[in-house]
Amino acid sequence: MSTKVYLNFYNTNAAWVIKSLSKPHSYVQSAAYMKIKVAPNYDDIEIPEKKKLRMMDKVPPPVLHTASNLAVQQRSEAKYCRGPEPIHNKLNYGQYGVQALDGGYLSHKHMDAWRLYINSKLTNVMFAEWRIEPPWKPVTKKGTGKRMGKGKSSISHYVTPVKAGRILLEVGGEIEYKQVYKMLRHVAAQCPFDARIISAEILQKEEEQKNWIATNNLNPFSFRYCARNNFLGIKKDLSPYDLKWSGKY
Amino acid sequence: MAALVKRVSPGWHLYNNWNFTTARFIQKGNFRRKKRTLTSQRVFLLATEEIVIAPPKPPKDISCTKYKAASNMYKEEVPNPYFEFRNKLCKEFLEKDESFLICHRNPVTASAVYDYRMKLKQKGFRLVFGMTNTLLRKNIPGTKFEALAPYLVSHNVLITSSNGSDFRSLPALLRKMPEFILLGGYVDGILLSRDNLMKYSKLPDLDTCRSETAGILSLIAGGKTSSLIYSHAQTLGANLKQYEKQIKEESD
Repeated sequence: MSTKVYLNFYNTNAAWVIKSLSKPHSYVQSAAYMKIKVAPNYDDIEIPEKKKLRMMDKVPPPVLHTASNLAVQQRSEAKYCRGPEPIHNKLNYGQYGVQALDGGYLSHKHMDAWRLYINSKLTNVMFAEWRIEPPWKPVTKKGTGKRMGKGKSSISHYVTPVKAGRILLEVGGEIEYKQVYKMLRHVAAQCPFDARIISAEILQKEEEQKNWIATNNLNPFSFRYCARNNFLGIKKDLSPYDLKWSGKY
Repeated sequence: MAALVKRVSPGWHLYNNWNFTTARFIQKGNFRRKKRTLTSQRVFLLATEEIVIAPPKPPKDISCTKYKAASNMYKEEVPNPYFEFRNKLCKEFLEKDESFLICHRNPVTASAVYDYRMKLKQKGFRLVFGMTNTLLRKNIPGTKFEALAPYLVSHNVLITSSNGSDFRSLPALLRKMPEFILLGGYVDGILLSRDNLMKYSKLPDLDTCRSETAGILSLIAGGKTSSLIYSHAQTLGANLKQYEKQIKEESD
């Protein structure tokens, strides 16, 4: 007994193959060379054991070991934020970092936010490190509605002072500038002062430009010389810091 | 003066952007608000600004192929084994001394390219896409192909013959390929433009030309007189009578 099998022809694979053969070629395979960019060499980079940013203490350990172990208030001195940073203005690992362009104070809130964000974005092949101290400078605040006087108020929180040119963070590993920029632009935007994302190349270029300008300067009247010798009687309008830093800070 | 200095090498603003001042004896520290600069201070700053003559700027990278040579002068060529390999292939192609034609390529679909390639293959020709203008223009100067440089400007395609087939049939073939526009080429050791190629395509075969020359040479050697003498008597008589008449007319 023969069995009759009725198939829905239009939904089978054979129908699809026939349809595709009848259509004109829309894609022609051809051999070609791919222009691939050469990846940079990361053999010189040493990744440390501790790759993530450590947690910073909100309150520093007490400096004066008194019986009551109370923290002592300090003056609010602007000298810690004034002028250029003479020491911590270079990259230790020679890759990428965030540099402050102005002076100011950084609190524990800033540091914690950056720590959580950057640690979430780091991969196995990247590392990050702090270049600032944990908050140590006490900041006092009077309560709301209090009148002036009646002594110095109590400490409310601690901050770290930062000078212009200081490096706040360093990031390194098998990573390029574009990737680092995406990560660190939030850090630079959240700073209470102007900040930028730098690499070793940028710093080197700036140094070369500085030296080139210094050697090829055609103006015989420099700020430093004219200010110290009171040209145009300008010492009346300048501060001692202008004489020290040539009007740049 | 400030404008002069600002035209200095790029990054000047990165180096000289330190503009902030402080006020003393304020709890928070006024590091963000700038002090008002007096006119005397502004005059002093302008007078003591650094004056530098900027070096000449290289031309911008424009996508037009004409200006690529100018911008490449300011770039150092890094040796790349991939480009060296392709350069080598190009040199071998030129040293082979094969005849080829250059066609301008308008935008074309891949299916059309496939059809054209099959048509040309049936006639014994080959489409070549790999020889780019940059490669050819680098390897042409100093060779006999130097005059082909004006054709190597836009999107191009080369047509070569794999079996030594005749290029005279190509213009008729290319009429069916409207996206390929003939520019010129190198055929049988001669550089030809488009007009010369069309004339070349109308020339007869080599064999016919040879037969014609052989016929002309045979006439010079006296082949005609012998054929006339050995012809039939009637035709000989008629020819001789005509010859007499000619001589009489000339003498008269």
